[in-house]
Amino acid sequence: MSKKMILAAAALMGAALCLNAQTFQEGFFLRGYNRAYQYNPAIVGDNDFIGGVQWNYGLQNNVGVGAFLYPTEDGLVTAFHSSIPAETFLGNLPDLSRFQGEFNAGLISYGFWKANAFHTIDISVRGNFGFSLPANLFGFIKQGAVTTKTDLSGTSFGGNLFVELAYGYGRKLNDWLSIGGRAKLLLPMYGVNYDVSRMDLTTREDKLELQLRGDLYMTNRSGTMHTNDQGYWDLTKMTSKDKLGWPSGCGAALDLGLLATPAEGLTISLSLLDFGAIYWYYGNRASVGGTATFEGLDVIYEQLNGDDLKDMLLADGKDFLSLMRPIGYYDDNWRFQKMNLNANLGVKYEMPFYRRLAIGATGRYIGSQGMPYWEGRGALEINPVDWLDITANLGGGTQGMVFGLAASVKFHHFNLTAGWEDGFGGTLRYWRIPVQRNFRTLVVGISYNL
Amino acid sequence: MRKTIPFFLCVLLFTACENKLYDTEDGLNREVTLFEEEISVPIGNAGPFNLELVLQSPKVGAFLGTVLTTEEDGTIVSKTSNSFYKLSVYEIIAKTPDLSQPFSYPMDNKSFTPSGIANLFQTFGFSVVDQHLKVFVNNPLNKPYTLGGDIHVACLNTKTYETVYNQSFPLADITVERSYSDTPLLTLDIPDSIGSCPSTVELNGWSFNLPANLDQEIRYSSKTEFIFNVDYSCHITPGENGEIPLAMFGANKMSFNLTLPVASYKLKEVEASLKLENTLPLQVTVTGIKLMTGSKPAVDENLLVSVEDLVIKGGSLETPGITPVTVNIKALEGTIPDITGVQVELGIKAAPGFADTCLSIKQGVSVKSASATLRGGITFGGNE
Repeated sequence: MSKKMILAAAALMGAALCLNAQTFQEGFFLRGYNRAYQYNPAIVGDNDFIGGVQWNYGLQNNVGVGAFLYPTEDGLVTAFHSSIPAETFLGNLPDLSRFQGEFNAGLISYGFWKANAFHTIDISVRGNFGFSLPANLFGFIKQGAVTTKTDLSGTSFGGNLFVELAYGYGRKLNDWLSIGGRAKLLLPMYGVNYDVSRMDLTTREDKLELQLRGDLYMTNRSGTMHTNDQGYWDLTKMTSKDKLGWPSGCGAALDLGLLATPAEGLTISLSLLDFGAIYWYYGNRASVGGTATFEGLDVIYEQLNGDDLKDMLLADGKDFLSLMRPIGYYDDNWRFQKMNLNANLGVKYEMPFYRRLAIGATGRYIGSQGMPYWEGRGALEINPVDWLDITANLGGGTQGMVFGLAASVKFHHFNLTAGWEDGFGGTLRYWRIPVQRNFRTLVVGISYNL
Repeated sequence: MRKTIPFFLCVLLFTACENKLYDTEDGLNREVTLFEEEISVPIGNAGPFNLELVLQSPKVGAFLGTVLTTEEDGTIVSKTSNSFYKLSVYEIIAKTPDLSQPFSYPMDNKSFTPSGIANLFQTFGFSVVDQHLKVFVNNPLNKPYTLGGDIHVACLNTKTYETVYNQSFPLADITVERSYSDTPLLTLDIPDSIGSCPSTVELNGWSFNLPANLDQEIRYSSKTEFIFNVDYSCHITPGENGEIPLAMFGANKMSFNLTLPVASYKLKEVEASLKLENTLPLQVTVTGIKLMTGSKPAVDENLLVSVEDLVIKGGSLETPGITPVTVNIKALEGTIPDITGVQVELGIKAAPGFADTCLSIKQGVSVKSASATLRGGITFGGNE
């Protein structure tokens, strides 16, 4: 399978935007963490609780800003500085540079025991965003046209927002085994996706040619894009005609979990999360593309002045830009978007000599299309006093070395939790963009034990 | 609570580590060099740059426009008009014993230079063809009268002054009405076989038919002379005269102002490919091109222009000469600075097979299929 086919397939499969969920695996180690069932539905809570807002934010990138900025003796330079060899810059880039983020704003959670089972109800708003850029694009800018035809396909960006209504059920089957599951109803709100399935740039002495084929999807919850007589979108106008209210489609997902305590102090967790999909309805659907060619100017003597030449070049430039004009069409508006399956494995062992200290390990796999992620970590947890619990972990995976740190603080009936997962390499000042490829999660939440 | 919140914040901020190596606080060098290896772009076509533009130019056209004109099809014509002889009526009266009858007056031998401009073109190495002479005369009398007679014409070669043409003609019978007749007294097509514009045209043995009672006719006229004018026209060709002596006029090495502010882009090498389509019947040999830099343009020996002995083929409007040209400009050290001029060494001669093609304002040079290839990248920006 050629590289071109791989890139095209990745772009076509909505690779810009996978419905991601970076779970808070530190919650497996934190004692009394009320929302641990979101990591494994088989983890049942000690108490009934009501949860306030929990903010979960995650970021994954397979290339960091360190591929684009280079410290030198003369200061910080970009990858396009003449002192940075093309081999160095391009060697630091994957075939498709991807940047994906997700957030999960848990609005309210409620967990309660009834009929020997722990039931949970969650309402949250989830969203994803991301973009991808092909290495060939940067290679072309850096090196120029090393071949006559340059494949620049793979560019994409997207974002979406949907509501998740979840019901969870966890039950101890016996003294050492618990099972659980969560059924989730997914209600899309807003979504936009732009995928370039084909972008070929031909640079020859006799012509510059750009062939572009892309698709643009937008939900029309707010309105339907107006089209002009030629069928092009008028981006300044939207109509309420055929507007689809909320939701813009429908989806469902399932979480399954198994928790075992085969020996005293030993806990083994196995869970599969987000097994499902959403059928999005994109009421605004458009294609972009075509072919734009520049074969040079035809200039007569009188036009050899700055203004005429500039006007001619602008006119040709507009031909290229016109490829980006969306042409609306109204077939095939439904789009199947798979949730990215999370598989998690966790092991925790409380030290027999000091139960407040535990060691453990975790493994995780996230089946992101285009950027699958796996990792393994060793973990340590300490509960020095009843109201404080701290865990830390260190490991490695597809995005390099990673670490995590989380803490849970209990005061009165409140339980405040915060956690951070990150990679090494640091971030760019102010921008907080990772220097290296990275996997990052931030969780902050509060709950109240009833 | 007072202790837990700061602790909580420390947990949040603990791992937000900034990498000091990537600190943009001290500034980011924004200089970028794009397309470092090579990029080719089409430039297109330009022109034609034809002789009409030369004739319309302020400096050259101001002079040539007075002596050159064009025919409907654009062919360049050199036209001059001079008065070469004035014959007083009273002189005729004095020399003629009997004025009561119409008579034939024997004219003195006269000579004139047909065209100084045509001779000038020949000095520049061109040839003239399609030479036409027309002699006109005015009527100083108040009444129309008919003229005629016979004439013998001799042409002398420009360089050797040998007689290259001898012919006798009857003068046309024209009726002149008070001023110049539209009909020429004499029409002469100088054959191309004589090879050049004659330095001198001699009018010998010619007689002039005049009416009776000339003394009566002149009495009431304010004008008293017959004025003979000659109109000369010719076309210009490259001719078979060898190379045009540009060195005589210091035109073999010409400098042009050309402003190309490329220094900021730090270009190392530029190659331009194009085709020159030449409809001029002239072959141009470019023996050297040098670029000039500096506020007072001077040849920059650091810039290597790889064009040697380029021969631009000549042609015609029907059969243009096509010459592929590749020009490579490279800075031997550093990058190409701002260019302020171009110095060209060249030679011009008739294109083989087109020596007899008349010059036309429609002839010129067009640039076709031009493209540029940049090697070494193009640089923008600089330090913050």
